[in-house]
Amino acid sequence: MSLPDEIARIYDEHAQALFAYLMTLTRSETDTHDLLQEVFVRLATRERLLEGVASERGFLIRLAHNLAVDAMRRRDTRSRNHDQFGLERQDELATGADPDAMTLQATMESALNTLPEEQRTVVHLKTWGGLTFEEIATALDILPNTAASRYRYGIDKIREQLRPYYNEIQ
Amino acid sequence: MKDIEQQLAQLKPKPIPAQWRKDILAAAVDARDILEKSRKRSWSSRIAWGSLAAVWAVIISLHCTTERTELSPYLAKMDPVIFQEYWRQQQQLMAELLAPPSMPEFIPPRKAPVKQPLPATPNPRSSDRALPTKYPPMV
Repeated sequence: MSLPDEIARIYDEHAQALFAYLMTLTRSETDTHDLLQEVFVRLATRERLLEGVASERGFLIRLAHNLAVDAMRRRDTRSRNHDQFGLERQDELATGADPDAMTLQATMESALNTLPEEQRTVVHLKTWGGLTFEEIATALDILPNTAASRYRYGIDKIREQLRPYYNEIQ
Repeated sequence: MKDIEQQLAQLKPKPIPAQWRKDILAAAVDARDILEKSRKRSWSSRIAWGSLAAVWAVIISLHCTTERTELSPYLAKMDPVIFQEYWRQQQQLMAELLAPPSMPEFIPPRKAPVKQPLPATPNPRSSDRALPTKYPPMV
């Protein structure tokens, strides 16, 4: 398989997960585009980057994570993003046609936004990234137990915040 | 209340814009092409520099292995005795030139003779002093 074909295969398999993850981190489509492009430029220019990698997606998530952190440090926007945490609505989730579903989605998105970054990324990677706790731990350079506990804390917080919504429906 | 994890899983993340695929893959392939071109260019320049270094290595090795045993024609014609004298003078000159500059001998400045102080004893009182006789004593 030629290199462009290989890159295209990786894109088709993992770009969606990387996009969702980078959107969670950066909250900006422009930044996400730049970072995603940087990931694939690295893959194209370093042929053996994925050699011997157990989980392609985990490795790519880690690469994207490191690039995003570097970019945020460079531009000194990390603190700004944290300051705005939970205040701005992000369109990370696809919008549906059902009004109830849209309301639920907005509520969930709002609840997700209130989570600290480390919990939010783990919830995101576990729920939509399709990664195991071991893969998340590898990607984020943390212990698997830490990843699991962050996920659990995040889910509990979301559940707590959604309780009034469910009470209202019932 | 349905399990929140199932609720979350039912929600789908926003899809990646379709146009991005073309852009990103094109950028990756371009970056790859640029890298290959620069590699080729650096390889050709590496060959050029390598051959130049090899030529210099040959020149230096030839220079080091060839011993200079012949004298210049002027010195070869010279009488051995004169040559030895000439050689001695050259060595001496070289030694003088290379020797550290010698300091001139220190000569202390000559001191001026110290005048003896006047005697502390006072002169005799004028009354005790013998009057000068301008005229010879009267007889």
